[in-house]
Amino acid sequence: MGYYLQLLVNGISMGAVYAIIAVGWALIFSILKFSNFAHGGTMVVAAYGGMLCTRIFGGNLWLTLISAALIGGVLNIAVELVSFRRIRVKTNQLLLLFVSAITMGLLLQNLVAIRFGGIFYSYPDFFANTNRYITILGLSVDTADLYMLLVASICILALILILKKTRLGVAVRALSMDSRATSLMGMNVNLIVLSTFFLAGALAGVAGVFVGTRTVLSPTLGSTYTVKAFMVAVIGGLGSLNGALYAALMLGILETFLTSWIGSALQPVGSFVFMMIFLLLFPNGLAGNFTSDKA
Amino acid sequence: MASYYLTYMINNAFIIVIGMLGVYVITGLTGMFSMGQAAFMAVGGYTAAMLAKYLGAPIFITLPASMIVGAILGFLIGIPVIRLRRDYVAVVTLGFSQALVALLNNSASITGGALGLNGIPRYTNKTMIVIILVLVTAGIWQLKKSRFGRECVAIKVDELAASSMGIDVARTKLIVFILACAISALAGCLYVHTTSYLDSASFGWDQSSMWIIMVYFGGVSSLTGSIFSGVVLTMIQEIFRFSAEWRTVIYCVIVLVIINFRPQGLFGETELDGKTIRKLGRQVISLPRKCKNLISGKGEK
Amino acid sequence: MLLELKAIQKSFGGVQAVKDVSLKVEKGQIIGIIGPNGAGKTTVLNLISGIYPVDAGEVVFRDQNIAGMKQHKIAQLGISRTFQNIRLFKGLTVLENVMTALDATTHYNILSAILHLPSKHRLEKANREKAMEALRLVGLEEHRDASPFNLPYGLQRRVELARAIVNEPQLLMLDEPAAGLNPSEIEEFIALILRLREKYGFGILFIEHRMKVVNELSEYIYVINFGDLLTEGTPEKVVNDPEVIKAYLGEEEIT
Repeated sequence: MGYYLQLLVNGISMGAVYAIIAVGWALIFSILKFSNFAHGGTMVVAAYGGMLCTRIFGGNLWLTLISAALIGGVLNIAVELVSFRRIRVKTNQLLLLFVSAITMGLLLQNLVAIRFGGIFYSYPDFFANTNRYITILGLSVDTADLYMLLVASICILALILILKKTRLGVAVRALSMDSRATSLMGMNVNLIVLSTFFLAGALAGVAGVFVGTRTVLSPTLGSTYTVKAFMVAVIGGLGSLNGALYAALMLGILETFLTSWIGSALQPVGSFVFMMIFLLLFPNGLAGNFTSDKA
Repeated sequence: MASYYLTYMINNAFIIVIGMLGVYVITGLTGMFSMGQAAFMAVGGYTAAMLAKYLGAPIFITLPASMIVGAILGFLIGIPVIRLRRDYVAVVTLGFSQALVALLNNSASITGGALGLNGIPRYTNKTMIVIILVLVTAGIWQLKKSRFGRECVAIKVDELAASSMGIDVARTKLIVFILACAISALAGCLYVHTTSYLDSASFGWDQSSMWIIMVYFGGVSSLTGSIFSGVVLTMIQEIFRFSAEWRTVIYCVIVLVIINFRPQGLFGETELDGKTIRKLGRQVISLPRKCKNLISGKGEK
Repeated sequence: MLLELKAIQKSFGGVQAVKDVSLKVEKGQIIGIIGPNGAGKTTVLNLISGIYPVDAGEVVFRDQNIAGMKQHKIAQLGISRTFQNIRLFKGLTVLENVMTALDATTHYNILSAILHLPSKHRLEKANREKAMEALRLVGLEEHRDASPFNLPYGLQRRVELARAIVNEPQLLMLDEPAAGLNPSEIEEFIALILRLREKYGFGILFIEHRMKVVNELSEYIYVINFGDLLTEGTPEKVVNDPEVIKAYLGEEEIT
């Protein structure tokens, strides 16, 4: 029993990291209606960038998180300008955006591989001076997991506040409903898109640090997490922020349990089978509206 | 030297191009995305390798067998997602390829896992590969010029209008998807019988995304364009042998430039058929005259 | 009876686009649907062609309730249509565009397609001839190999028309077929529609704003306003109906 509760806590904290990746993904989907396959690329660059920053800041988690978030945000702005802006404005063809995103993700991942490939890098131990485990209600919880959960929750709360309370948030929500009307209302659509990319990139940056602390850094984390983000988005329903949150927790818990039952090597097979069954039963995802191509 | 490159081109580039043609059929014809198409090459490869290595099956059994297994898996994967938005096809194929690689690595006693599988009988030769490539190309060409080809283009451009023409969108997509999986599986079969070696790592996301890039580089609507760019890009691969990462980076930059500034790809919708070649020929022949006119200042109005 | 709508309803997210519409089309009859913008006219056509299912009511086509059937099945039963904003297939030539309407009911399998077997050759040839015949009827045979998007607007409309008639439907639905045509093109268009009806004998259900087209083509008119049937009758009766004039005048004030 205690073991399963432990797994559950692990799963929830893993799911929290998936959530901040997937929410950024859903944010971009909701305004541009396409899947940004460069998202994992942004995450992995920010993860390595954050690792470099720890050489300056030492083991300070908070400064590392902030710098990784900035790297991710700024990088994502560049991604939008280089790979999407022109296509969006000129043709707005879904297929082209799609290929452009795939290519950008591959490019970022391989740039990382050129600079850092071959040697294994990892983050310093942020929690060297604290207790490795904290005991809550008889459960001993990994401190790193706890921090992960805490930071992810803060990020998501901050995002919700931005979306609900600021002018930018109103603009983003308007854009997600109707892009033409938004530009008619005199809003600067390109600026809103850029800001959204910044937010999504910053979230990916934060996620990158936690992914990096959990495993050894590797350039291929980019495509791995692109797939995870997409799976979460599909299960949650494309473009739905709430759906992405629930689905991320679901996937985090599922993966932790699968790893415990069938081993980490076979876990992707289990996740895939789960996704296929889920799609068969709930093709709309938990809350999706964009399942069919119809106008 | 020249013969080395020729052998390399046929043994590697042509087989890769056959696999890529699966992506062309899915993406170029129907506008769906398969992001894990290389997994179907793996399916074909492992099917052929198992049959040949453990049962001693000859190629006229391994070849159809690998295509059939590829088609069956394509059917199973296609059924749940083909009715949904195109993104879903992309993610499910991608998830499938990752799951498959995990599965292969985990059954190392049979598949050799990440270490690979050696000693698979070599059945192919250059002539055979060339003939198969030509046959597959001709088949897809005929498909494009048939009712399926028109239906696919209609679906790619406007699903709603396609349904209004009485086209069963889901069924057509599924048929074409299955066919594409069989084609990629065929490439896998040729691959193992050429290299006699097989490992799970060669069929991951890198290969799949490279195929998408190749198809887009040549022009997503042009079969000959895709084949052209497939051969050229695989050959460049040989030049950049020292660093796979640099090669990919250069590819990516090229594709980003093309997508942004010539979104229809190198060939656009033009096919390199008799008509186009004759037209090009006429232009080349008239080139000296044009130059002369230009120099003498007459110009053409 | 060719087509009968029995009290069909449709709402989108709380908005009742079609409240209660019933109408009839007899074989060989030309029926017009008019009404102000946003009245739900196109929705009625979309409900008939099965783009979305009706919430309530029946769509009876040749004694068969087709409500809830899949879109491609309905099309194969013999209902074809054109679209308000021309929806031709980019990447196909004019001839190929017309041929797509025949493809779904052409039965050769994928193997004969790939191997170019005689069955494919024969059926393709027959289809090509049929499509050419349709193009000839609308006067476009010399543009057969052009890309439809390089043609002027009026000709694009005719490509769409050729595509809609090539499989000799029972019912032809036209959504604002004369929009964007100039007066001389409109004369030609009216003559063309009458000629096609003469040849094929199909029923026609069309939506139109141009009163000239409505008056000269329709034998009977349904007026829709706010998703409801406002009135119906012969063109003379409907055009002079004060209710109809009011509905249109109301629109005038807004725009």
